[in-house]
Amino acid sequence: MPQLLVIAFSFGYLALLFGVAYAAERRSAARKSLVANPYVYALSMAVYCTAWAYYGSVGRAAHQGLGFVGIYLGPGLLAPAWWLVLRKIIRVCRQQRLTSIADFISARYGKSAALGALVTGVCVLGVVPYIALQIKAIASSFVVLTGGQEAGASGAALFAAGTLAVFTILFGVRSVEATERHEGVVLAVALESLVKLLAFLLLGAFVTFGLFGGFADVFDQAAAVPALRQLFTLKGTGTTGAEWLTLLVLSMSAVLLLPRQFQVAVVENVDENHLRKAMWLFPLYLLVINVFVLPIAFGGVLRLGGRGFDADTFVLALPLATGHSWLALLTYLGGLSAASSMIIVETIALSVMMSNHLLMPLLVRVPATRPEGQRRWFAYLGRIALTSRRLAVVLVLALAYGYYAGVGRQLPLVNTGLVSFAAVAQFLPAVLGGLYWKGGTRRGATLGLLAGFGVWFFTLVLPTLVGPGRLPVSVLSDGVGGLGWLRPGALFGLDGLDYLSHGLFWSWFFNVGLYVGLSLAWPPSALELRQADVFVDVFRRRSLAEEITGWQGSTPLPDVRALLLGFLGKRRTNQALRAFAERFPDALSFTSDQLTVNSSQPSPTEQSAPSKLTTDKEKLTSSPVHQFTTATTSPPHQLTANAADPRLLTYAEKLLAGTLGPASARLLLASVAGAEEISYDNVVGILKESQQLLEANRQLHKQRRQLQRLTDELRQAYDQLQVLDQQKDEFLYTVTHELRTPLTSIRALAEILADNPDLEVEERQHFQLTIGREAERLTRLISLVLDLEKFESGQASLVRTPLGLAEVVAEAVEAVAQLARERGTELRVDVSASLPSLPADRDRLMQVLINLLSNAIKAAVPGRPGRIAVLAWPAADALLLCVEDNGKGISLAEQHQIFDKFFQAQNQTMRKPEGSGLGLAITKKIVELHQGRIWVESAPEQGARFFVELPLAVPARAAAPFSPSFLP
Amino acid sequence: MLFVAGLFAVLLNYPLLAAFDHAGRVAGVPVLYLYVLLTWLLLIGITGWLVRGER
Repeated sequence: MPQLLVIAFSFGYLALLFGVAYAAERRSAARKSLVANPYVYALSMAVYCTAWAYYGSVGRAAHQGLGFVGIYLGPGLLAPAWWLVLRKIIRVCRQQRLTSIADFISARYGKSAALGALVTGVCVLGVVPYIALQIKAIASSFVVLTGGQEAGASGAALFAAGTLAVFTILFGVRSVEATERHEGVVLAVALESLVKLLAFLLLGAFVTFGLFGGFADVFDQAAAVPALRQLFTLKGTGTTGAEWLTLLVLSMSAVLLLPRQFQVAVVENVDENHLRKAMWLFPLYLLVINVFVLPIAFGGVLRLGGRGFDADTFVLALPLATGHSWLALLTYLGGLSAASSMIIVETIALSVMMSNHLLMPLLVRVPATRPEGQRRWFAYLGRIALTSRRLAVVLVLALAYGYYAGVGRQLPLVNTGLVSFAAVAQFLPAVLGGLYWKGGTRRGATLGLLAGFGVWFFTLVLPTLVGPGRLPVSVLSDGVGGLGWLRPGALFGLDGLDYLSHGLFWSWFFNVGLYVGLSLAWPPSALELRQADVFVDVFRRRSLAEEITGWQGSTPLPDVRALLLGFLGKRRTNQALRAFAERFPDALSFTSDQLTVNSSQPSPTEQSAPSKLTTDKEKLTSSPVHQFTTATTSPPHQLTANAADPRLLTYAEKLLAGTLGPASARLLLASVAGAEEISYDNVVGILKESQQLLEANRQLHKQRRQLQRLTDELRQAYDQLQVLDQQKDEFLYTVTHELRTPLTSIRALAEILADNPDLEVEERQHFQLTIGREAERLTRLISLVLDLEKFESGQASLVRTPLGLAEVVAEAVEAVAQLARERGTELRVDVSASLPSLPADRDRLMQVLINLLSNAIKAAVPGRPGRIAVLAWPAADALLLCVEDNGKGISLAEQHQIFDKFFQAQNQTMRKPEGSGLGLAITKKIVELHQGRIWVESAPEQGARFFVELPLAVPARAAAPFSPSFLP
Repeated sequence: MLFVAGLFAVLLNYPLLAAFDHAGRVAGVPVLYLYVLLTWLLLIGITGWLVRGER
């Protein structure tokens, strides 16, 4: 294709990106964000698919079959765990205002500046070749498309790098505050993800369905070629299990830790809930973009094999060779978008890291010469931070270009990428350990990382430096310095692994070993402990306010203000301090006056950025526990009008961390404001205090529970009383009712007698007899009620004498014999006279027996001869007495109620009651007074057996009065 | 979620992967490719479904 056309399209495409980014920034300023939705978030994550994925996957597939897919499968496998891991990282970063992987590791391990610099160094060294790779991809695809010479490639590469540098500086490094989101960049990246996906799918469909007759056809034709048929299996391509696993693990760590992934997934995250959609959208994207890789690879080999094409260029060469140059152009644009999005995001991330971790920690150590000059120095530093970031963008791209021009041209796409992955994978132990293990220390992380990085360099980078004019080949075969165990490909003689697994194994071996070992060997410092707590328990503490402040002493407030003013500018500083004052009126009461003096009416622009203000407010939600803690750390009376509250210092540190990185922010605040770092004793003191608070809290909880229990018990007692009260009412009602019945008949008969003096003698006698009987019944009833009352009030006492049961039974039987004869009931007694004597109240026992016997007689079924048996036998320490009848029986439900007062009366209102309904109730009371038991076994129409168990020995308690009850 | 990730990590690794690592083809597509792609798709589906269910 004509060069000019390709250049014009490239230019046009990049201009489109500028336009999109600009539009997004405008919309963002107008608070109509185009970016705040999960789809853009997931698409922007697809910056993972670089030009390497675009061109290199096909190249790798053409040589190694399915092996390429591991790099995309890894993130897919990790994605379900994002909700646990990535969300935690996002939460930590938002709370701590961290903006890069270097920030994260440095902040976790005691805000160490050295560790931040080390991480930055590893990132730059590991990732710059990767960026170079993208530049190379752009350049070589340009060459393939235009059919030009290799010489033209350098020009294209330089041109691309330059344009992207401008874009990155314009949209990526806008403000000194690194926590600011780059909506323009994110939208551009999301768009690029869409472009590369569509372009690749279009090409894939063209190859599969245009050049061939569908998937089956491609594979059929490939199967005919032995070299290709081998690629159908992993065995055939020589991909071992270890290599496969290594690819998965590497890509998993890369998708989490690569600077660009960290940038889009964590820093540019708008809402944690977007993660939910991204968790399946992003893997789906990876799956879809990979579906056509194998058909394109096979198609390329089948159609272009033997024509000297590099497999990496099949994507472009296939449509070109078949005369579809427009499709080739589209594919080229897809590749361009893949490369440029990666370059832009990676460069932004790297530039912030370099400025915050390599430059700023040095600059903030430079003390201001005079206190008056301090403020100017801060403002100057703020400007330096921004400028240095822009310079870093240029530097990174220049380095990448230099690498490309110097060494990069010979390397295949995929290898450089994997080596870069392995470098970033060195962060994994420190990051995961930092998130889930409180014991990890700065020393362990630093040395582990250093060792891992060293081994990475030795095993994975050194071999690439071998070649004519560089390192001798003997390094590989004989080891460094002729030492056999120092061979980069088989360190310590470990042979038989592919180079990647080998490198990853050894680097992680030393990395993890040193990290864990040293962490366990030396205890962490106070600051490290605090940070460990903040990171690991991030979901437990909900706000800044719950943190222990970590600052003490009195820092002049104007100094803190000056510091913030220098870095954040007047508007932002006032905004932030106002948010703080709103949250902690006690901490900043005097400054709020100052604030109102200083700040003018809120301008429209100020209102346009309230999102930041609200996030600040959210972070400042307080808890009473904390206020207590800080109040005791610095008692109010120490707060002179000039000193800043420790909470303000923490807040300021966090604000600055968002700009300069955690380590620099801490250094700055410590050195310039003159605040002392909190000592170990103070931490212990604070911890003790919170321990005491917790203890007090626990006590309160306990008391509350006790009160609750008491209340419950009272309520229960009250309910019981209510029931008893009701029972008493019922009892009274029943008793009066029972009394009225005989009274009524007595009165009626008496009236008849009085009104009719000429009544016949026989009739008169009958009436008089009836009156007598009813009066008797009345008397009996009253004495029963009195009896019962006696029992229930506990006034009844027993006169125990040793009794022969047989004798008592015989007497009782005699008493009811008349009644039995009347009813035609047969009475059988089987009580041996040799039973041990029973200590009991004779009269009461008699009452029990007569009651049971007369009940049994009355239970007889009319028309059937009643049979009653009285049995007794000794049981352990007791005598058992049984009165058995063949009467109408008692249903199971009634068996529980028959011992209640007036049960019969309540139950048989329809018929004339045959007894008072108090007999069994009294019987039960008597038996219980003897410490005995009474129960019944029966079924309807099956007769009934009443058992009475009476103890032979009188327990000690027997002397005690009968337990009082609530009953009347 | 962690369980799903773990399960599929086992499904898509040796030695289980080796079971599908032979030259046979289903509907013209090599078994291995089909297995990996379909398992992957299943994983995405399950993740999507689980995430929905939590909402």
